[in-house]
Amino acid sequence: MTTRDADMHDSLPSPLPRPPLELTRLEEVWETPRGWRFFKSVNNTNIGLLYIGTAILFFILAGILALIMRVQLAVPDNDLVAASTYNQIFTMHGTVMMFLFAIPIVEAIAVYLLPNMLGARDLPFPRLSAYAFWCYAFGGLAFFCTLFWGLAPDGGWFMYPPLTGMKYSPGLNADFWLLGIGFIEISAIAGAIELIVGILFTRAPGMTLRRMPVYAWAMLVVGVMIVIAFPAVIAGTALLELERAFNMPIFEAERGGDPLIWQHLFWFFGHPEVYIIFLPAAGMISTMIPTIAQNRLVGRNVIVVALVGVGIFSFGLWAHHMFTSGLGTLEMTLISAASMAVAIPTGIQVFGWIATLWSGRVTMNAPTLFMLGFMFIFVLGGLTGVMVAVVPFDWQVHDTYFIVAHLHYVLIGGMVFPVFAAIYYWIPLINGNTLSEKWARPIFWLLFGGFNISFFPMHITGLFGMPRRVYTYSHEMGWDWLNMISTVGSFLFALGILGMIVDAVRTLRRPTKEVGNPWNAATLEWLPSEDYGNRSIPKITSSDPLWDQPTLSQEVADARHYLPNTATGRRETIATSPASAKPSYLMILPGDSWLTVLGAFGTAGFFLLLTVKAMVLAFICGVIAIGSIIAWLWQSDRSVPQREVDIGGGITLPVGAVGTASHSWWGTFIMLVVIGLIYSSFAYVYIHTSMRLQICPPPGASLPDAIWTWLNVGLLLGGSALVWLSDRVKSSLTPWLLVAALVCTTAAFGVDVHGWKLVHLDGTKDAWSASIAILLGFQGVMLFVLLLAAPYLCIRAWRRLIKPENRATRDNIALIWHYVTLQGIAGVLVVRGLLLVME
Amino acid sequence: MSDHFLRRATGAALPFLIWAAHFGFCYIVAAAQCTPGGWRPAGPNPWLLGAVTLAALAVCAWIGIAAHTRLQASSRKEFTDYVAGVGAVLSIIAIVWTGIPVLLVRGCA
Repeated sequence: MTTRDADMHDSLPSPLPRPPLELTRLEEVWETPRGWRFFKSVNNTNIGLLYIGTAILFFILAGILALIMRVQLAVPDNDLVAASTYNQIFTMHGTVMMFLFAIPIVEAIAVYLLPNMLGARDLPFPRLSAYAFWCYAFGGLAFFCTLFWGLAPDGGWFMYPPLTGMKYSPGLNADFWLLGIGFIEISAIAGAIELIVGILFTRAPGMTLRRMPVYAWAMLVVGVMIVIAFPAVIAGTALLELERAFNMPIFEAERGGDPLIWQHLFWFFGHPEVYIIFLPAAGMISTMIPTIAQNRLVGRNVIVVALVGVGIFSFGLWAHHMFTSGLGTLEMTLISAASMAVAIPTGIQVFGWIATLWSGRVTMNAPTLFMLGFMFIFVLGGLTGVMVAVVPFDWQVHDTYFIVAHLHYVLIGGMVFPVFAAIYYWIPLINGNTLSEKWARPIFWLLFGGFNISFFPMHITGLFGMPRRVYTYSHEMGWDWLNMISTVGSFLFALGILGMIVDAVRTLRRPTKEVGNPWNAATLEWLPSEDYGNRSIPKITSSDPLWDQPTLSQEVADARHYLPNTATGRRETIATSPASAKPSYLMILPGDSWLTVLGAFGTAGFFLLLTVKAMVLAFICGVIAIGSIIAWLWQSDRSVPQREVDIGGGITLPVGAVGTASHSWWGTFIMLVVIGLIYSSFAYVYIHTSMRLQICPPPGASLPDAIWTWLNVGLLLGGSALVWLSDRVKSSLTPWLLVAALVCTTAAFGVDVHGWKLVHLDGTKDAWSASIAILLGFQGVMLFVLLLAAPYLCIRAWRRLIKPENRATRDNIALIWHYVTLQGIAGVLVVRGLLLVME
Repeated sequence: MSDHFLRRATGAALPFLIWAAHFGFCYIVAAAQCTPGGWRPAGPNPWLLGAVTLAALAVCAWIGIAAHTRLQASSRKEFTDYVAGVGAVLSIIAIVWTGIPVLLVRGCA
């Protein structure tokens, strides 16, 4: 950044008049396509709306499934739904609610709100967001439709083997869960990458970490949690599918496997998942409460630290879902203690909210009602959470309706009620209209009352011994009246939802009016905004900017802050430094495209057709997906005529950045962290299976001769060295060095495979061999990525598209390459090192 | 990154990372010493786990005191110091909490 003025703050708001056609040009560049072309839009604000709408659709669908279950359970010995259908319904209810509603809607709201809340024109990877959304929409809808063909998964939303193994679940039902959900998780990770890099790189100048909205803090923590937690379940689903499709016995006890591996992997994702959906809700609450109370958030900084603390502590709780699985006493007690410790930072947030309300002037409107409802229900859920963290109590209520009650109090209280509050609070951003306050009160009481009438009795039903997932029960059990009350409550709740939908549709059909700032909020999303975001990008000097900078809204609308134009004639925003939010470069953003839709269609088709073993069609879809993504990437990382631009306020910024200063590098880096954690999960499986053996390697198995290992490591290092060298020679030599590097890395993999073949490694023989075959196979997958990436980079080099200012493609592929080398060497160290330690 | 974000963020989150390392180490030792591959007849080693717990507490206390000292000394309060200080307090509570089982529980089953 070069600054003509020593103090950039002084030169804003700019007093200069703006050129006449500036706004027209800005509008043209950012214009949202109309009609059916709207679906090619990649602007995060548009994608966010589609995302929210689709997530709510899945909420309704899964809610209908819940009502069917409640009708079935309303009276004893009911035969409305057959047992096998009931199994599919409860599995789909849990799966759809968790994977197709809860996670997507928190990401969706973030994708919609954050660009404006951060003061950015858009987040850094809008096409990635669009691709993630369409993958989720295509895949999710196809997945849901399996219910109509009797092919829906039926093993419970956490799909424990051996029940879900080939022996007990031979149909395609489990495969649809494994492949369908597995790839939908990829879209969640893509969303997380967008959010992390967006929050770190596209905040308005002056929005330091201290001034960053608490909601943005929450989403940053959640983004990191997704990156750490989701690889475990992706690895788990891959392993179970490999066992089912290729007979690799990772979870089969008879061949040295262990079903508990699935539970560890699933819950290492599954428990943080609860916080992944709660923390965004907590962030929304921390944003709405100060507005509702017209009072600054009490303990704001401590609440931010508590968010970080909850995010990290939540990774120590996974095994509290496994207290009845036979874990050791000390392991269970450690987990139990951590489960109680996480209540402390959670409690800090709750007390902060109460103190803010207490010391403010609370307006009792619709968002307030839902926030109070959230606090009541969530605190009850939290208290039963502490109860089930006590191991002996958990043994009594495990897999009973007490747990069903607890988890619904946590999830509906901790996430659904805050989302309802958020809908009431932020819906004016769409067309300026608020939902009806008159309707809000009966709707709230139907939801709040219906919820408690439905779920509170389940605590008692559970204590009376009713197990979860039973499709019916006999009159002698004495559960009739409790179940009937729960069913009545569920319909009251559904009535409340219906009322809310009708009101929302009415509101969205009203004529558009000026949004303004209807609640007198302090955050930037209430600045005047169009397709291009704010007319100019604001300079922030406070954590409550709209309260402390009262003329900011008018100044921004009058184009008197930063970047009031399109400096390069393309979509762009200001990239700022991650900690102190100083302008660092002009970030060029991609435009609308059908490629993201096509790529998502191909990806969804590939996974779903693979499930039904339509191999040719699946292959065609795979080619479409890869082709679309390559075509989309081909358009990126291009030169613009300007090398530097004036963004106003006396600041001139370079266009784009290279290396670790670039958002693109960080996006790739985070993706590699995800891949590394998937590989680590596979490495954990190898360690787990090895440690359970009396003799390791098991009889009949052995490690290859060390020469093959050294050769493998040498060739991997050689490949990386050539890639490193390719950046330091004449550009005409670059492609040839890359080809040589590819030969080295491919040969390394070939040598590794050859070594294992010599010792007759058979992945179907036992779990130990299977775990090694999987580590080897994953290295092969990464080699496949390089086999696509290296020729792509060579072609770009030959077409002279790699220049000093346009080297993101080169830097990112080099990063991937070095990662593959590192992964290969780490694999060698784990496989050989563990045996040395065990000796 | 231009303003050493990664270094500053890691420094701020260090107490929590120490909690995670302590928790992970205790869990892994407890699991490993009760499986055939790392069997210890008397169960998980309480001296090893106790020493690691004390070390983790000491490091968190040191981070907290250092952050507090910096905040007192400097006129420009760094948010990352604040996060490290409060994080140290929360982490100490969590480490003490997860350290109690190490004192109380013996054996594998």
